[in-house]
Amino acid sequence: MHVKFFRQFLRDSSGSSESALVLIPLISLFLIISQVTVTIHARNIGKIVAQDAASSRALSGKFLDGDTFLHINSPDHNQNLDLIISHSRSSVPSIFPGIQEALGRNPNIDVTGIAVIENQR
Amino acid sequence: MAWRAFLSDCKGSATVEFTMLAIPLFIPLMIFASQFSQVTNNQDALRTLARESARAFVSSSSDEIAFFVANEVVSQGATLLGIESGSSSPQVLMDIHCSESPCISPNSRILVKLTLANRKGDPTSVSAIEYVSPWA
Repeated sequence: MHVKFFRQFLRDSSGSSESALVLIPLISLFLIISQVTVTIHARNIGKIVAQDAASSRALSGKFLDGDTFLHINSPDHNQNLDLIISHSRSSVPSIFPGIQEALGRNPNIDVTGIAVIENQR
Repeated sequence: MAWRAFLSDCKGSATVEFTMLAIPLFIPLMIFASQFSQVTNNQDALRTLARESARAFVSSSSDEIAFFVANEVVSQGATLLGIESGSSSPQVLMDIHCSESPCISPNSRILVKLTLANRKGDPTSVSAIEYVSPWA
């Protein structure tokens, strides 16, 4: 009885269009939105890391080769202010299958952090 | 009669189901994700700018220099952090409150408030507090 029902279930083709028209597009949309959400989260984390690095280097004075600096103009010539700009690069977590192949490259998140350096350069 | 036949007809139900599920559920989610991204990005950038401009403010020797330097940090930092300041783009407005007069006095409490005036939606506003050195 059960075998007969299972065979009938397997042969039954009703529901295939349902899957093609509803499930696959819905799952794709769900994955796209998940991808967007995860990417936003990764960017926010990257920004926190870059900002943290900039602040700690501005305090300690231990700069890296990749850091860039921007002088802040001041009417006071004794006030030597610079902005340290730290860069952080990370790859985007992949949720949606085939996104890297579709883009043709590995998407990266590039973020910057800034901090004021006081009389250290 | 035709209406009943239309309601009982199952043809195209999958398409109707997709449009009834996808449009009311997922498209608003997409819009929400996009807005959330923009708001968090602006808040992060503004918070950094407020803190660093307050830091530059309190390290100045006089009020005039302090306001000038804080403005410089905000304008240059906004460009670096992706907030463009131009006539057609959103503008960063800076408001500074001091507990003492003049602002650069020993132990003076400086509150820097930055507001990003968006063309659409509510403005984003953040603030940062710094204290002038007791030996200033």
